[in-house]
Amino acid sequence: MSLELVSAGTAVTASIGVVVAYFYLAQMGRALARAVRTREQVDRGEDRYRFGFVGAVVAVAGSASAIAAYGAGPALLYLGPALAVASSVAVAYCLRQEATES
Amino acid sequence: MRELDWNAAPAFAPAQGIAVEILVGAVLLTLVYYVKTKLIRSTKDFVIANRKIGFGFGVAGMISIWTWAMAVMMSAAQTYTYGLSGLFWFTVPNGLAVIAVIPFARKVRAIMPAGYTIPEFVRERFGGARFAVAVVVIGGLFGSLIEVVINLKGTALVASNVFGVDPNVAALVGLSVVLAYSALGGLWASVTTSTLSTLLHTVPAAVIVVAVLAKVGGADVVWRSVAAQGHDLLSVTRGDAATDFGITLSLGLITATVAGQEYWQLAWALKKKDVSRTFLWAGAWFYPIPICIGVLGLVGLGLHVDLKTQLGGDAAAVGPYVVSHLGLPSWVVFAYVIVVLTACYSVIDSAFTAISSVFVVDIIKRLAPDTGERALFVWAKVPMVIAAAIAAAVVLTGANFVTIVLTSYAIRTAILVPLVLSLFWRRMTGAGFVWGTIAAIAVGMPIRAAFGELWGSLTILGVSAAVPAVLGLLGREQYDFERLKAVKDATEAGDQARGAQAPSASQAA
Repeated sequence: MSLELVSAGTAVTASIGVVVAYFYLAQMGRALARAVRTREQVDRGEDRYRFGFVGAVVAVAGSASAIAAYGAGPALLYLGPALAVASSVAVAYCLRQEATES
Repeated sequence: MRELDWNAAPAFAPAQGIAVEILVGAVLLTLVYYVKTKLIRSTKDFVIANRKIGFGFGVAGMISIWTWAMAVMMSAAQTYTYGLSGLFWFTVPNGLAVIAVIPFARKVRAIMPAGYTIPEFVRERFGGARFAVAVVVIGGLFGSLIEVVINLKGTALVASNVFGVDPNVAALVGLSVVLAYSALGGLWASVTTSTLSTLLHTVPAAVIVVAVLAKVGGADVVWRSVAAQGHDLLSVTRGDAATDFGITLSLGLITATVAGQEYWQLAWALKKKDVSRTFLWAGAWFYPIPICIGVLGLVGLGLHVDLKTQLGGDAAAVGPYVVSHLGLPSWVVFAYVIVVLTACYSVIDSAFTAISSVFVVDIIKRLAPDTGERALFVWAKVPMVIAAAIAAAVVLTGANFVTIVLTSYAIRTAILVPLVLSLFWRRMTGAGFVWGTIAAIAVGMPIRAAFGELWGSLTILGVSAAVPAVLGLLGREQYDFERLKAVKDATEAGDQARGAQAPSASQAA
């Protein structure tokens, strides 16, 4: 059986991950509670979002750049894990928006 | 480079693999039980989440539903095969396919606010065109069934590679677990469990990649080893990645989302104001998952993992192999298995929900329009069990499901353009839809067989655009899209007619 110790970098990433996961789950719980609370409310909103095209360009260019960046130097291989954690933060933000919207 | 012992992997028992599958399922089942008691009171709640899915659950749910097990493994596999060009052509079209749904989702929600399924839209748009509806129903059901089978195989692959579990047993356990919670909570179950799964696709993925890089001696070791191999492995401009799989994959991905029941269903299930931004954010924040896990493919390249002797000829095994054979701590290996399993589970549960919707709205409500709420609620679960039984039979018998795959592929690709025209072009006719689809399949599939997938796909798309365009221009019909706004909510119509009441939460259970 392998030694159950990990590198300092892994430990730091895992620690950040735990904090992010806590925040994520808290926002998920809030959003779920709000969904339960407002389940009988009539949905009167309209889809007026205007950033679809610009957002698509930014998202595609950003992802392509991140992949290309891997080829620029070894340290940039850590960009992937950083973005993965950022993805959790972004989704937690979306859940928070859902939980707090008027 | 540090000397690595590929046999330093911790020895896992098959029982541990089964336990992980069941444990993940138990956690998801607990969440679903809460959701069921609080949010599921009618067939409409079950099938379409009462059209109350908000921004957060929409984004998180969609990311996980789009993260197939094979996507987790293929991002590393394509990187291992083509270097960064493989990762580029695998990843970029993937997120774009979700974002590309925005104009269609927005349009369909605006013109037919009470919709549920693609066949329902086709039926209402073309005044009951039976053949067109039948084609779309078959395409939808087969497409969802394939998603179940492929992800079951993903479950089996990771459980057998890492734990030595019998692949059939692993598939059956996974299927039973997902069926249990999907039948309990429907679309709400799918979306909430997928939200939890999105967390499990991202944070653990980051930890796993950092742990792997540390174990092999750092990113520097991997990067320099790959760079030394040449072949433009650290460039995104290799042409063979595009021609070998990239362009075909892009077409297939866009077809899967734009003509996929799972995504139309979400478009109808989201709160109106959240439709566009949900698809955008989901596509954008899906990207980090393959970008992160793709690093495992670079590690495989850097360590000269051999395709034949170490991966059994299957590049998709590079991720599981690297993670489970480096001698990493057990919890890191378990974390990887959980990433893959939750990816499998979330796709299977969304496929079950899509099958349930088509069955309820396009089969039961058509054959027996007066079916009451309570009976409909029970019927909504039946197709899940049937789909699970068929998927289990395919996996257990080792049946060749190429026919199902080809049928689904042909129908989905052939209806893509007619579907888009149906949404945006007033002169699109039912005849154009039917004959465009038939001609595209009749001409395109032989070309696909003779000249490969790319030419087959392009032919299908070309013919399915040309035939409806000609018939539409020759005809004089000008469809009034306002008519679709009058379409009644399919799961409410029967009750309104009968004056029935929805069952209470306890009755529904």
